[in-house]
Amino acid sequence: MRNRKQTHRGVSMIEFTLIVPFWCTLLLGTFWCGTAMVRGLVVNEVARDLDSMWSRSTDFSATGAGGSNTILTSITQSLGTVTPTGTGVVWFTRLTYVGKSVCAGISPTYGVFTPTLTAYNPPCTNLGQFVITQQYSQGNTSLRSSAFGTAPVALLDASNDYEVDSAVTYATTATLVSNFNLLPKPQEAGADGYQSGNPIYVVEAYFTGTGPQGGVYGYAIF
Amino acid sequence: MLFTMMLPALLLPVIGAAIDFTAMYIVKEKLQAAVDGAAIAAAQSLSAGTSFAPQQAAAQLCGQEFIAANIPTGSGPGGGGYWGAYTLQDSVVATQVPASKVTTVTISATVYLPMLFMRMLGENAATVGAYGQASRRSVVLVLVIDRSGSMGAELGAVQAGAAKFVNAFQGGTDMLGLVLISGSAFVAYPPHDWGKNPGAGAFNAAGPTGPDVDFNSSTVSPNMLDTLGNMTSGSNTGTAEGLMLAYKELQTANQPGAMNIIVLWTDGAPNGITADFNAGVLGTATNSLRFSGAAPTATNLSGCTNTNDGTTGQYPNVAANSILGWMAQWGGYAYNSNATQGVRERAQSSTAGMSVPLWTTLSAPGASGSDEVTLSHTSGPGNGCTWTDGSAINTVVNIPAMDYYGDATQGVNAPVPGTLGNQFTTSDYKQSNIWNTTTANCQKGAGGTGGVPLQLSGTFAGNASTSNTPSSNACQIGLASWNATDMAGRQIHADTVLSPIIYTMGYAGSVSGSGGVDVVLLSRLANVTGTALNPQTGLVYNTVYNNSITPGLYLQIQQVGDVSTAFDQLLSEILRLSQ
Repeated sequence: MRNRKQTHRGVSMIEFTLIVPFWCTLLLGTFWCGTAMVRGLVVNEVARDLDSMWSRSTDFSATGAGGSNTILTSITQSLGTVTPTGTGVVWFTRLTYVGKSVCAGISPTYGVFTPTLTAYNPPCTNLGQFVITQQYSQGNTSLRSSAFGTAPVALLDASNDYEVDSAVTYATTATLVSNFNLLPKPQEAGADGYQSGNPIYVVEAYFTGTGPQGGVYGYAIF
Repeated sequence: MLFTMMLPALLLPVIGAAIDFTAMYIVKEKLQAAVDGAAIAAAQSLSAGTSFAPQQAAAQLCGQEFIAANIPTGSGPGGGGYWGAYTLQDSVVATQVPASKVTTVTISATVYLPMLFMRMLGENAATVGAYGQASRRSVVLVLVIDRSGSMGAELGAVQAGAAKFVNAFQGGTDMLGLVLISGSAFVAYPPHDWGKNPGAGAFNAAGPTGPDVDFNSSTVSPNMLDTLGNMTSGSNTGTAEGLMLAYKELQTANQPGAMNIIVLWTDGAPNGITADFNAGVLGTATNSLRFSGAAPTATNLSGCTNTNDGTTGQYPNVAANSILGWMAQWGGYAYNSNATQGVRERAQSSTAGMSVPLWTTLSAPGASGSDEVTLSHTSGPGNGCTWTDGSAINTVVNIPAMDYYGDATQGVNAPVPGTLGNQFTTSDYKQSNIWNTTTANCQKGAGGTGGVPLQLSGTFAGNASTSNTPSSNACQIGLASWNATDMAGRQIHADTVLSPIIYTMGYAGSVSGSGGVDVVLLSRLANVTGTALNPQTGLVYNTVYNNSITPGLYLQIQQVGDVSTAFDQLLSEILRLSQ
């Protein structure tokens, strides 16, 4: 009996030795996969929540802690640190489409309500383009840039906030949005959904760590 | 051995199911974010068109566009969608409940998500859904624009900014109106003369309507946008009358369930009041007008009325002998410029075929061709009076205690409906710029050279002649105008049924500083908290802030280029509150 038990014990040890690497790999893989999925989930929730607040006039542009940034810090803390040297960055970009109605609005010379659409004054150079009307970021901007273009740093004001100051500016000289094809351009001739001149609020969040591209990225458009 | 062999068969499906369910949850969260964003954007697009049908169509299309923008989906499995999601199906429905003044956008969306492990159990795909809703409360809004002569280079920007602002509202649902401020204010859209009975004049054949839903309709000419575009600058600044006319318009619309809003644009301090200058007790020294002559007598004007307003008007203060008109400190700020040039005809009260388009483009009172005339006993609206001086300054011996609308010009109004506490004091006018600014002479006596500070009560020390030399009288008119405007804000805020919200926009006209704008007054009107100090006067912005009243917003606009952004910001604030 004793010899037979000892024999069985040896077999079990061999089985265990063989199975451990498999189970460990499976366990770690599941853990890795689960963590990445949860972070991907949370980063999208963060983008959505921040965009929901921003589109309702909450201002996250101030530098340093305090104010609205307390909210930002609180809802991103499970992902990383949103500081200039931290592990995360959040981009706030407000866009608009410069259509004929926008150009007409900046051309009082030709009459505000009966404009000559082909002869705007000043010239409506951004006609037919999506432009950035406001942009700012919080966190470590070296980690990732906005996917929709970056306003010139020189235009950032003291509150870390690039914001064009008038329709004339965004219709003529504002930074064009790059690679924005998520929304169709309004035709302004027939039925449109998104209307020319209406704001589009985009929040992008990126945090380093586990993920297919070395980090997790999420965005929301309101 | 058997256990070891069976363990993978038991655990692998469990782990696989966990991964599939997590993926479903991730996609559901992303779809929910898409629906939330789409609901907000769709509610914003309700401004398209002038009736509900095109607005409904725009909201539906916009909602669908924003869902697609937020969550990429393929047309089938392996189509490159978010976590493989495919076949997005959505429903965007905008509905109106007229009784509650609310338009609601309801969105539901579903996608299919391919399963990685559950397919081993026969489940190739799962359906993931999300639901969202955004509501937009109807707005009843009166835009009050100061078109006084000081409105110069910024006028075009104001017209463009205001037009964009107006176009963002929901034609056919939101109700908008326009009041323009000159020396006397008037209801420019929908045009109506509050000084006449319904059917008695050219502007009110159908009676007062208040703001209407046709403000941007091409079937109405001129509509509100046309009138804004035609507006030119000229005349003085009767801010109190402008606010009260806006309030009367809101009262006429009478939409307690909607957001009732007054937006005031101005580039300077009030300097005019519209009042009944013959409202005192006949034959007593309380009257504002006396028989003329170098030495005014105590005899008032009996048997006299400017009949176009008179007893058939709709104002509560009008009596049988009323002389309705306006006077202003002349030529700019009250403290350092000329005094009044008499009592003038109130806007729209003329019988000479005056029209809103003409008032909208009036250049200056007294100018050639102007109908903003000085009241006279010999002809026109003042006909019938035994009033002998057309210029009238030497006959105005008291500033009327109240303006035409019941706003106290001196001190504090009698209790008004609602509970506001007792924060307003009889000396609040001393918080005005014209009292505090160092260049002002209003608290230093006549000429700014010292002496007894002015008191905003008692006898108005009118000039002995009609000369336009600077005098302390100008201060008294300016301070009375400030006080009446402050009281107008108090009266409006006391309405607990409509609960109007006042937004104020002050144009400074320079990179820094507040220019001619009285920051304290505009902060008080908007009921915004004011713990900061006004750099111009060193005073706390608002000592009468009341946290039981919905605060508005005070926007200070520095330069022409900032006008459009200010209207955008205001729009964002109003739409945020209405959603």
